[in-house]
Amino acid sequence: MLRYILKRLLQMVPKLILISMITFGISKLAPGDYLTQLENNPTISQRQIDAERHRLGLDQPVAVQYVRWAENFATGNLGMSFDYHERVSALIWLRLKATLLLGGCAMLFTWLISLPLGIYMAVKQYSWFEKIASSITFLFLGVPDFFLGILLLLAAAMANQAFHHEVVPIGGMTSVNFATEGLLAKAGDLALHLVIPVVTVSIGSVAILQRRMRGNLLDVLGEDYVRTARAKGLPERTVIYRHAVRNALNPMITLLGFDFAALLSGYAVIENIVGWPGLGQLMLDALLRQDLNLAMAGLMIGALMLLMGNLLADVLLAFSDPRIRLEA
Amino acid sequence: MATETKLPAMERPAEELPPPISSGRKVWRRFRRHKMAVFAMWVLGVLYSLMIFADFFAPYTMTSVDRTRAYQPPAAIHLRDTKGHWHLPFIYNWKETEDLQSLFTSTGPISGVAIGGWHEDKSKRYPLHLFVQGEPYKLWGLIPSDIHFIGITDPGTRFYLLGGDASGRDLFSRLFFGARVSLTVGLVALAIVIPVGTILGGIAGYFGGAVDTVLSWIIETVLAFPTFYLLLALFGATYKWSLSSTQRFFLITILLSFLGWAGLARVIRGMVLSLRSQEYVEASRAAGASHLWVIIKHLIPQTASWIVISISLSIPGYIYAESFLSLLGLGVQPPDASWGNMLQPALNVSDLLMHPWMLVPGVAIVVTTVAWNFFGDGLRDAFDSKTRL
Amino acid sequence: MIRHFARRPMRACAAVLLASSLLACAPQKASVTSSADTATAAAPTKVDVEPPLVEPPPKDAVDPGIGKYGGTLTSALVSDPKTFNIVLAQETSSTTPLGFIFESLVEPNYLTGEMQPDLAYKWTLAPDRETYTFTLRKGLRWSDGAPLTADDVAFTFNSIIFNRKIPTDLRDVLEVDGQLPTVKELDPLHIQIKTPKPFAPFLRELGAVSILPKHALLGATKLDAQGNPEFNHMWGVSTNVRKIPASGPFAFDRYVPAQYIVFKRNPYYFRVDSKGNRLPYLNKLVLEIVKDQNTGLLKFQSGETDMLFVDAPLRGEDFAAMQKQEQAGNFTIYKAGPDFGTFFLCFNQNSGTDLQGHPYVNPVKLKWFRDVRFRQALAHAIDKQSIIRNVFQGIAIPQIAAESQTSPFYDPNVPTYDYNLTEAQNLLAKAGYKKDSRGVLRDSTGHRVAFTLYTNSENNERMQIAGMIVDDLKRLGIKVNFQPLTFNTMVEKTSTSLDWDAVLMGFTGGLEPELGANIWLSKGRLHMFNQYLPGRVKGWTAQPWELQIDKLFEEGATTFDENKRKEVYDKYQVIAAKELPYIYIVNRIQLYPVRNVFGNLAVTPIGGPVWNIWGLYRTDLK
Repeated sequence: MLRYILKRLLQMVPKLILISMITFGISKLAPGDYLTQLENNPTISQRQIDAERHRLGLDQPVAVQYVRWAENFATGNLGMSFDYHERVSALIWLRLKATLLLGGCAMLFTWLISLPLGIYMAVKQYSWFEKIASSITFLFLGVPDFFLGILLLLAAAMANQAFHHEVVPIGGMTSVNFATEGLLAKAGDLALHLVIPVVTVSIGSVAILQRRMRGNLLDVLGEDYVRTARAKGLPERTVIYRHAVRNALNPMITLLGFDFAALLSGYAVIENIVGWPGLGQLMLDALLRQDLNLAMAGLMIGALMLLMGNLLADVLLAFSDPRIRLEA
Repeated sequence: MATETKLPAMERPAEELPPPISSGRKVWRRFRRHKMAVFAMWVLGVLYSLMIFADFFAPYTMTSVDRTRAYQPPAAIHLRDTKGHWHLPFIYNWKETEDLQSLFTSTGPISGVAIGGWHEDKSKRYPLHLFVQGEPYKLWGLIPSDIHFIGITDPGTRFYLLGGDASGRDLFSRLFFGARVSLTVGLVALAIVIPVGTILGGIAGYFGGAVDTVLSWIIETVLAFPTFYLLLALFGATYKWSLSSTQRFFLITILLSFLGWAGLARVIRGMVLSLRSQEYVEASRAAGASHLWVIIKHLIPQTASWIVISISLSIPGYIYAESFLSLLGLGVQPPDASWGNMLQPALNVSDLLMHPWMLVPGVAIVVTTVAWNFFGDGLRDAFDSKTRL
Repeated sequence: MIRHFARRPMRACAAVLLASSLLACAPQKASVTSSADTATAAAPTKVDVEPPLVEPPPKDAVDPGIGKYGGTLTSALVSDPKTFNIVLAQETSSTTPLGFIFESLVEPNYLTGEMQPDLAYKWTLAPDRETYTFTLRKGLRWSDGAPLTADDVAFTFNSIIFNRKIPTDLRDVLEVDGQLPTVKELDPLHIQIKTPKPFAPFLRELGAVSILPKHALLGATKLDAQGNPEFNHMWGVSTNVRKIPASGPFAFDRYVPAQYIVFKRNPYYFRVDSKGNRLPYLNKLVLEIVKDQNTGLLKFQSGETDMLFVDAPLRGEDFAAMQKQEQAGNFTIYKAGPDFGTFFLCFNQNSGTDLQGHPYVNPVKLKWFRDVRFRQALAHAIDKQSIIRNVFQGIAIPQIAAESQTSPFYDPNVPTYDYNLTEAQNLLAKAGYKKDSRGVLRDSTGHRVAFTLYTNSENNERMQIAGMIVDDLKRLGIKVNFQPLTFNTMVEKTSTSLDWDAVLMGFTGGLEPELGANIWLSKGRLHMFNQYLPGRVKGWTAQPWELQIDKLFEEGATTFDENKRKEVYDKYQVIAAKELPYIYIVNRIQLYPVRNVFGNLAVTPIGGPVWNIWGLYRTDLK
């Protein structure tokens, strides 16, 4: 197993190199560079712009710029952000907490809702509840997350205006007096700020996961061993919850790997729409402003997380299904 | 993984074996049992025909502007006038309550009321007509005409069924033209994704060995691309060239499909890999059939049903991607319409409180997506003898 | 999404936000009693600055008088600061919060725009018109208690700003003919600054330089492994902000990225009210960072903030909704006059060719663009009123002169161009243009008048204005191909590749006309409509009126009498308005909604609502 993981990790290296080359190249295809924005400022002299371009190395050929960047990156030096005059790693560190919190809460929310719902809907197949719930999930499957975010913000804005005070916070992660509050008040404050972002990013996944869970359980319920268990006269409750659910859950575990991939960069743009102070805003801005080192760091984190997520999914699959052997 | 899952490239369909082939009639019979899917099919049928005949169904052309009607509220269709008489459907003219010219003439404090208040001028009725003569257009750029399905003949007002947008254009009409982008982007993208994905996936699965290793590696790498950021960067690059909006639209779809083919290729590869080792394929090969023959005769039909299903289920992903990009101002640019860029004003929530009708394009996206989902689900059930909804 | 920012003028604005006033003529209100208990509780008892800066309540203020100590002002910032290093900071989201922290030697008056004392309480200019001597107040302290002396001033200039390895445009602003002034510390209270030659705008440009605390920046000039001074990565957003000492009314207390900045009162601030109480009155200042204007607006509407933004006025499109809520929300929308931003239509009048001899502008088109009657006709054909109405919802005014209306150098008597299609057609007819039978405008040689118009797609207002201009010019029979570009592409076209016909864009102006020298001097770096690019453009020629403007700018920079300077700059504005290299469209009007709970509030065009934040006090304190 360890050898397998090690091999997969090694395989990632050439992939990451190729990805970094292509993304670097593409980001250089865009017209101008970070300093172009300064060129339209009447108070800056050409000399200053040229000196700065030289200092940032933007006057070099793309290949040279790439090699420089790659050398630094390989040694763990993410470089300086042009825009912030700050180490990229420090900038990422500042925002990481918020993004992880959102990702973690979204994951928790998704799994806690979708699994029980999926199980219940499989057990109560053809009931009214199942039909209604099924239609609702389908609807949520069709509502784009950005649109849901807009609708939730609108609802919150209406509520706030009606009450003339902030009932549901719009944007942000904590209130200003957060630092001086008690533990309970802190948790409450965080939870309130999390409502809109978490619901926005996870409703779609809840719908998908719930359908998977339900499908899996229905499959398992049709298997021979379940029929045998029933025939043996075991109580229905025991059959479903002790045997069937456990087996239906196994394939779900692999999906955790994909959730992991989304943890750091999966919600970037939604963070922007709902105003969550995470990495998303930082990275999107960096990309649009051609803040090269920061943007590349974001892109590479995204790629790395996807690759790691895939690996995690495979490893989890091997754990959950003893029939699968990972070949080293 | 909301953002990423919905982008086509990130889709990871369960690796299932292909469903057994069913005859067309059997499939249709099973499909018809799925009521919602049939309904969805009708909805899609209506949507797509409205889109095709957009110029005719829309009361106005896409860029038709009346600057004085920015954010005019949706038309209220009346049947009774102020005196209580009954008429065929008619509307009143919307008038702005206050003129703000006086607002900033003096240097003192602000006086007067800003624009934004509208009321119906009940002094004159404007009856609605069907097949009315209106602004000239060329259907599909070919057939000149000026007949619109619905509208008013009197130039004294404008019939904005869903209200006006920020520039004073008819939201309802633009919904039709926006559909042309939003509804077709998936189809066009799939026209690229399917051949590329099937062929590359098929080759990898069929030949195996070194070919498979290389192709799989490429597929895996493309799947690991941070899709959305990459699209952003690519769009920046495309602004180097002056493109018309049609060209840009095709560029968007090509970019989307570049990222979408890998997901399909991966599944096809898996399917072909398992099919290849089945006895009849081996028998066919042993009987001297060429590779091409085997692929065409045995493998492609086997994967066909899966491809049909995958088309209908991945189209919502493309609709999502296009509208998202346009929403962020990176796809189709106004004055050309797409549902995504029409939704842009809705990002301003405080504004939305005053002009809630700007949400309509979002509703259109939802309706289409849900319809495609139901339709695709019905298809899957129909092809798959093992019923599974 | 990309903010088009012009660096220096915004810095000027940010500095101006804190501009002080020395309205000696303002009557002192003796009738208002200060609550002595709260005063002694919150403020240090002894004011040890000599002389302290005495601030009577501003004229025309809401509830002017001696304030009460305590309370918090909560407002919002439209985007996250990118750095707390004020020398490297470039956008308002960074310079605005830093404006509360740092002071300069001198600063502009919030009403007149004239320069007045700040850290220095007096200065002299020697007869050579090059040597300034500034006298600092005695007993100035940083918020951490360390003394603020001429040593800090000399360090700021000599070690930081004049250090060529530190990327800052402040150096460019202070340079005269490419040479830097010399700064000398005479004694702890006196500083001598000598410019390389007489330069009238110098004093105003000094106002943009914040004095830095030397004791907190030890090691800033040491070089790191890459050979850059450590200063280049000091005071970034990951710094512990409490370690940044302040000389302004507030000091940093806490910064949570993308969420909020909390400031606390600086106990050593050198300003006092007319009773001698040390300012500021407010205890705390909180700036919530919002992702965009909409979120800020919602926060204000729900009562979270007292003031909409400190770095941006209310948008026109939001005015209607806000006005309805004034009473229920207990706030007032203050009008502060036009802002410094411009929108203009500009044609490429470059007669040069590239090195292979290909003209940059099609000669047929060049003939139109260089024809002043053509430009004037177009100015008459643009319906500014409907642009104001549709794009700005009425919250804007037509711009007529090259200098902003808010600037003391604005000339209201320049030729203007009202919306008049007949006049436009007459002008075109006189210049030999004719409409053919199909309504298409053709020039005297029969060419159809058509050109491409660029603007940057990130800017919604420009996109809308461009769309309306296309419609307007259609009425003259002119075909405009409107093409949105990204900001960077547009800049590349106008500044390097020169392959453009017309653009719609804008510059941010300021109080000082000299800031526009790069735009107006015929060989300036941003002389966009006729770009001089040695080594890339052959056969470049300046038109006579361009050379006239060159002369006027030269004269203006060496005229020290402000009235005479104004006359000089009036002349250039008349030429600009007659020749129309830039067809100006509109100026936004600044509106500031503020909750009705602040005394001494006096919203001004130059300073907005918080220029006198040291004097604001809450009227709702118990």
